Amino acid sequence: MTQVEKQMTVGVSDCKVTDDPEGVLITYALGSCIAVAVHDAAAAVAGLLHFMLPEASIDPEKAARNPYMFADTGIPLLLQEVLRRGGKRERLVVRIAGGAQALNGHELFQIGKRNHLAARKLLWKEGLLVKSEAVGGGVSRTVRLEAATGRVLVRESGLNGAWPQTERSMT
Amino acid sequence: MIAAADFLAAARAVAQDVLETMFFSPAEPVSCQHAEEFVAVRVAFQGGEMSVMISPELAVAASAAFLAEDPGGVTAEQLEMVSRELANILCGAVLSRLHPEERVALRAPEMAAPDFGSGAEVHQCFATPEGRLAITARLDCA
Amino acid sequence: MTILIVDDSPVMRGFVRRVMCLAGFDQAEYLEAPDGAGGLQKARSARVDLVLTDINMPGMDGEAFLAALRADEALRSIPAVVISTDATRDRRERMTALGARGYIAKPFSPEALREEVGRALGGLP
Repeated sequence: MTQVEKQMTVGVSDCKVTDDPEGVLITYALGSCIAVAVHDAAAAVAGLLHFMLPEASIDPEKAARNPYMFADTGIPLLLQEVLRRGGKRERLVVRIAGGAQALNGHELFQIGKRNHLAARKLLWKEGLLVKSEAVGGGVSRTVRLEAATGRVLVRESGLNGAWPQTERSMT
Repeated sequence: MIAAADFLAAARAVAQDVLETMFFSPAEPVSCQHAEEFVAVRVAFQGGEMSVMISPELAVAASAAFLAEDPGGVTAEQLEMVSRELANILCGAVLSRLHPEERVALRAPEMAAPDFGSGAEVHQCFATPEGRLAITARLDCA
Repeated sequence: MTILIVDDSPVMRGFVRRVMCLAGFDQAEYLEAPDGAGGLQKARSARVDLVLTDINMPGMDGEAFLAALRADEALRSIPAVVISTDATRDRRERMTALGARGYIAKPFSPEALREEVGRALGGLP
């Protein structure tokens, strides 16, 4: 019997939460952005956020229009929705991916690193430890979160599209 | 006796690691820009002393991050305690890096007047998105 | 379960306690002490299941504290994890020889402390 998958794409500055056991959340082309994947096995709730920038204070108007663009507004909303759907904070398994850094970046603080640290800071404040992370480097990542199992698959390829592409399950 | 150049190199390498790992803030070495209202902590060790100066905005942000609090919720007492611990960790990590085979002997960190390095061989400023930090070390001569 | 945290910095004790709660030890009772002498007193007056101790502290330091625990038949089997700015090999060897089951150098991430405690205890709740 084949298993039907209901794939839901999470775009840039976007967030989706599902309690459908057949649900699969997927987000593409994580360069300097960060994906935060949250799963509660007992409640079978999964949530995936793809944010671009660390702090809403960078652009409060944009944050008001789309809080998922920023770590400090997006992560609390992701958690709020996961808990609303039956997730329990103490059962949540959190993984993060992304935060790539341009090899010849000129800005003082590379945004990939800032995003990574912002995610860690927010999760620490929210009382969550990170189970594992796939961050940094000069790679583009795609992240796939399965609601039934909580399994997170991450695919990595060179930022310029160069091969080889690798895919692995985050432990 | 610790060589000034070695201490400076170690401080540059360690500051980034410390600020990122426990205070969630990226730090980069930059040219100096000082102000007297910086929060300052001094740590004495066998071989000299190190002063850490933290801009008020960074002190609040780093304290809030460390304590998992909102910046508005950080008290003056907490800010002092976190600043002392930041200096303690920085100094211990620098000394461990310089002499990985020997023990680290530090005195308890103390609040102090800022020391922006006048006449000191070791001085480095760092910038973070939230503010600035400076390290000065005065090393014992042989 | 009773966990004893020994460090002269109140905010570091708070940081460690928060990590432990988030790592699954949220139902534990927590005792704290600012130095080795205070730690020894707490360990003698309560049934402590895990010690997390700094080294550089005024008065009785962490090394003397661990030595005192080992010298006391009633306390010597309490597992201890060292949390210190001292990352030198000499100190690690000394603390391990005194029976420390884990050792983590500051700075450490919350996740790294969780892993080290898990390693020292042979698992997490």
